[in-house]
Amino acid sequence: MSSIEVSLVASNHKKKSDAENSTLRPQRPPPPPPPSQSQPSAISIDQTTIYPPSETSSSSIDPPHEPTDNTNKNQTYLLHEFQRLFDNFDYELVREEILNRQMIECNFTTVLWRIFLHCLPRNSSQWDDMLDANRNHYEKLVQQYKIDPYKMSENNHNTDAENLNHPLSRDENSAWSQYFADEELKATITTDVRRTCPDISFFRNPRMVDLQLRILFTHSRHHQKTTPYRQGMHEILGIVVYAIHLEALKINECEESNELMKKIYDSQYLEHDAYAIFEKIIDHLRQFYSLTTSNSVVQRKKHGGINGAKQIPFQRLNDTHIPPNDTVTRMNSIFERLRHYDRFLHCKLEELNIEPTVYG
Amino acid sequence: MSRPGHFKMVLLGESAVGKSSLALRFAKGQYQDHAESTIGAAFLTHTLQIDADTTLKVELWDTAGQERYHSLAPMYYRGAQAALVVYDITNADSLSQAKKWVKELRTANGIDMIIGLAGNKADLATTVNKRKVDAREVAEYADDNQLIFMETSAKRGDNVSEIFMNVARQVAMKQPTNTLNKPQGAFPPTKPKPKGNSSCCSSSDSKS
Repeated sequence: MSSIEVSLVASNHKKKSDAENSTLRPQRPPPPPPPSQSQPSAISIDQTTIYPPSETSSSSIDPPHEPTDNTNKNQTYLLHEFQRLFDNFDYELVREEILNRQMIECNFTTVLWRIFLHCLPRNSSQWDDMLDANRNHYEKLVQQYKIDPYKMSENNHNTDAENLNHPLSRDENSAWSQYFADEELKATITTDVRRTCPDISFFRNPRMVDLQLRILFTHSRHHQKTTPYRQGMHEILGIVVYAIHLEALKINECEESNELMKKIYDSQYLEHDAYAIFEKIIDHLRQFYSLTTSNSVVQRKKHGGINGAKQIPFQRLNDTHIPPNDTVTRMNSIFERLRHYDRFLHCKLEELNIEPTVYG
Repeated sequence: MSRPGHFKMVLLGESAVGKSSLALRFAKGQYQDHAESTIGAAFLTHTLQIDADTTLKVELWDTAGQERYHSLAPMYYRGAQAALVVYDITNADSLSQAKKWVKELRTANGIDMIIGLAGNKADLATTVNKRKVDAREVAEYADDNQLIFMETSAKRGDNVSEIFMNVARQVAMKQPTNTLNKPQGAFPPTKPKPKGNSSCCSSSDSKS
């Protein structure tokens, strides 16, 4: 996991001033840390470093108009960079460069994400097929989770199905009850997606809201058991979508590009490609979203009772019970390690009753 | 002479009812049309002049509203002397959720906790008639449950400082100011000093 996470952090997290520090730590779990109010958009992309802001009208997601004399030079450079990087992709070398922060200016960051997240193989000659397969896969998923209960009751003419599939049916297997659950999920997601990066007009575009809603909904349904939708996922997806979009703007503007570049940055597959990346990222973050304990050792301890009390060192008398989960357990164990590394800080935190879940 | 004290207060309520907007209006007098969703929780402080003798610093924990983060809420309301439970007057479900919060707070922190109930987005009732929750009914409910109830508008600023001020006054009345300085539950009475430590603790940075 480490190489993938580290490369993601290195190539993505321009927002953190101290990137070296963040590469040493696991990625932040979304829930606990109290973010500072002085940084209103903690996850907003630093546009100016990537690109000039495309703050045109809210409905416009067209490429920004750049002066033409610069673009020619830029264009050959892009094709050259693409070929240099991906014609004979040197995984170890690029990984080293990412870790040494030499890839910050890379114009193909989202392609690197795809390689390091295993959405695309290292050998670019296989990308064509892989892209088709990934995109088809997403297309199928969207269809699979699209429910039209009216159609279902039309198609089923036997009485059992008719009894089952009506809007007032309380049966869990009724297409209608799934339909209502889906609508509720979509409403939750929409509330969040509408509030993604309020300062960037790209996210106010209704098309982009719908696109992100479809991705998050499909993902949530497809991974219902492991990683159903939670607030915060929308911000991760937002970064992915926006990053691909910004790169695509540049690539699609340049006249000198090869077929593969065009195919990768085909804007009609922005949604499909964002899904593929998002799915892999969430898979890596799964443990942070888990509310239950998957660790069997911890569970045994909990029920065995020998070290039961030790398991949650911050629990006090009359405490409202916070269910232990993997993230909390992990943070507590980091806090225990702090005792050895910085005893003073450990004592101070303990004395002031500041729990790891607060600064997590 | 002014006697400074402080207390911990938590904001609770369904997603997108305007908790962060109320906090922002209260602490900074600002409003944003498009507010980001709060992930985890945010922390703000604001000092209130209760009377000529008393200033109270409100340490406000603004929590994430989404149901799936419900299980995190106890670590924010634990040790809090006050809470502001928020609902959206254009969303009847958000009131039911607010009532659940009140119940949970009473169970966990008892009757001594000062709880305010804010029916937010009151501006939508007059400008566009979107009201779905009747204020009189809520007022009755608030009376029965000893809540300080007001309809607020973070957008226009209506009743925002008023409801925080009323809550703070009751906190001040309930406890003599000098005990307010004593540690209460999970929150530190003094700022943790980051000097000399390679601290990864961000809570001290977020204090304003």
